[in-house]
Amino acid sequence: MSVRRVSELHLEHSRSLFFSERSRREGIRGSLGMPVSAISFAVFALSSLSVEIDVGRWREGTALVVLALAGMAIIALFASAWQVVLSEWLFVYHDPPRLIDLLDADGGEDEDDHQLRAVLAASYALAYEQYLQGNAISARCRTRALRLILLSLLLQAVAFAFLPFHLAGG
Amino acid sequence: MRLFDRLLTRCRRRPTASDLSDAARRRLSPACRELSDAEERMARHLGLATVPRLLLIDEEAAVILSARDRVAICAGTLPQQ
Repeated sequence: MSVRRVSELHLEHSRSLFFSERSRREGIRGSLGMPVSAISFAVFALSSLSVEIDVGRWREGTALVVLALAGMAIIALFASAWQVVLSEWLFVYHDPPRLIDLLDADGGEDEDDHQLRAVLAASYALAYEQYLQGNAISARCRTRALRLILLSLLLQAVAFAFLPFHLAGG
Repeated sequence: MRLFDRLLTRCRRRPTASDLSDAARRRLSPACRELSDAEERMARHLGLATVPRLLLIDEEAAVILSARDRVAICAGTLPQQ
């Protein structure tokens, strides 16, 4: 493929995709705050549950149900926290080449203008693709984190619903 | 006295690639290799005389990695400070 086929439109297209994907990356990072807040709340709720439950009566049906639900909630909570860590893992920035590198490669001829435009378009396209891959993985991890912490909170809600029966039995 | 220098003066030293720990190099190595391969593929596909060499920025270590640093990380030849 000839570098002459890379037009101004290709360059502009690659550049706009690069900037939009980079801002999306920041959006994903910002939205990680929601599962993290939910994790903090879930930890607080679990501490309340652990104070209320009488573990010595674990043979009773209601205690067993509450303990099982709390156990599953804890597993979901840790899995959610792990997904938050994975979402941030290897979240590196990719930037186009420095001006000094571009100038070193540029000879000032007309053919070099096409070459330079093609290199710039390729750089933006590459950076965009790298961001796109990273963002897709991070967004998946964030969604999993959110779902897992919701599951944990729901399990805790059911455990709290069983708690009065457990306390009445004592 | 060096300790007090660090405490009392605002120094803004930018870490370089040689400051990266072994763990950070291991962590970054797949990303460096993947980016270098993608650059080569793109250059071949477009028939570029110059391979586009992107900068890789690791914000955990606050290090900006050039193409040469990336190759050295992958090859394990980057000198350690």
